[in-house]
Amino acid sequence: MKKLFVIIIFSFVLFLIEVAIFQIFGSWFKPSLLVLLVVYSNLKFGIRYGIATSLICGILSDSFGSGVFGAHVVSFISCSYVLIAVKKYFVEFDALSFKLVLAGIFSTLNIISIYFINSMFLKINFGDVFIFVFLPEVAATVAVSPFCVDYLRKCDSKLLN
Amino acid sequence: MFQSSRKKIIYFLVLALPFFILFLNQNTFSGLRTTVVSVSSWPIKIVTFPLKEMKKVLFYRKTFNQNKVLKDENEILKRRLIEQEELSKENSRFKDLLDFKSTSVFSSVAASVIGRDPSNWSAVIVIDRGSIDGLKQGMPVVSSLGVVGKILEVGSKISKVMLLTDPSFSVAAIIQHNREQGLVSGTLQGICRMQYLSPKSKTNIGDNVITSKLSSFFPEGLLVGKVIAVQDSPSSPTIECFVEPVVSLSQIEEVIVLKMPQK
Repeated sequence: MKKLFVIIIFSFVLFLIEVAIFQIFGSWFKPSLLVLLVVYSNLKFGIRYGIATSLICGILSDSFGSGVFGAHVVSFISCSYVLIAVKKYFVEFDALSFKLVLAGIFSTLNIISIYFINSMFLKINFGDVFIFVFLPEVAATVAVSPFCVDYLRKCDSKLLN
Repeated sequence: MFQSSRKKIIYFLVLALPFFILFLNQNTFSGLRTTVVSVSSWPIKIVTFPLKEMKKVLFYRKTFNQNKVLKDENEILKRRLIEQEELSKENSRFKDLLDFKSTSVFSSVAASVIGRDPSNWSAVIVIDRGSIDGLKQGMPVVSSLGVVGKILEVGSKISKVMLLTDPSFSVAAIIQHNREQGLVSGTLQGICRMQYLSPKSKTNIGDNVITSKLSSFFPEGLLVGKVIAVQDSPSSPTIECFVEPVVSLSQIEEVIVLKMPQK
């Protein structure tokens, strides 16, 4: 129960930071902090809490957007499953390069799944998605991932102990 | 073994259920969406308030210069307004003579922007007015410069506004100088695309695009933006052009909602 509470707080705080970052940097620096949280909670707390995180983060993202409701939920849950499937091959959890690669892979996966879901309901140009969604989001997510993961670790050890 | 397969079924259902939700009527979740946005709006207001104030201090010089220019412009406009009022009175006298129906003037509500959708997939803002203030889904949202968007969802005290640049947004519009009809829709690029223009139409860069009377949500004649590029449509024997919105949508902080009866 305590873990779930921590996850809810993290989801909400990271979402608020995303909104605040947008106010400062505009559309060219939009890290997907919620993807990082989904990855983090899957690795730290396991698949059940990973799915709970995916649900909370997905509902938050879908509520504020204009797109189809559930797109982010499906995308985050897919990311959780892929992460659990490949988790056994991970060796070094703490290395900086590992965090960067993981952030890059899962933000890419998230964008690809949302692209496929949205293109079922809307006409979306792939070139536009690549330039205006993929590049700014993946670059920003990779850039902030080491700091974000470190802060999440510090905060959750304080909250859970 | 039985327990393992049961686990797999549960995990499959966890993914399949949200996927099934995608195909349900989106209005089903309107209540959930507005509740989440309403609950989040207060913390968002608190977080963004110092950032907005900081921005005002940082851009003090720019604002000061802009204020000077606007004061001068205001003086000119005041003079023009007096002339226009005279013309308007004259016009209404002529209309009375011709027994025209008087055009209804819409009432409006001013609102402040309290939040934005942080994702790159959509262009949505949250405003601090809702159904208590008489707002309804589909009402046009404008600024002093032109079209901003339309009301997407309404909560009791907040509403979501779909901006002009959202990929799901579309509005019937015309090129002001040649009266050519087209459909303006949003793109992920932060600008709009105007489609279905006749290849014979002489559309030029810099032309104004205004809302058409065919639009079901917007009153006729509101400025949408300016044409910044013209090209052949790849999918149909028409031409299309890119339109830069006249309103700076990433900077906008106050909007006006027109309480227009829907057609």
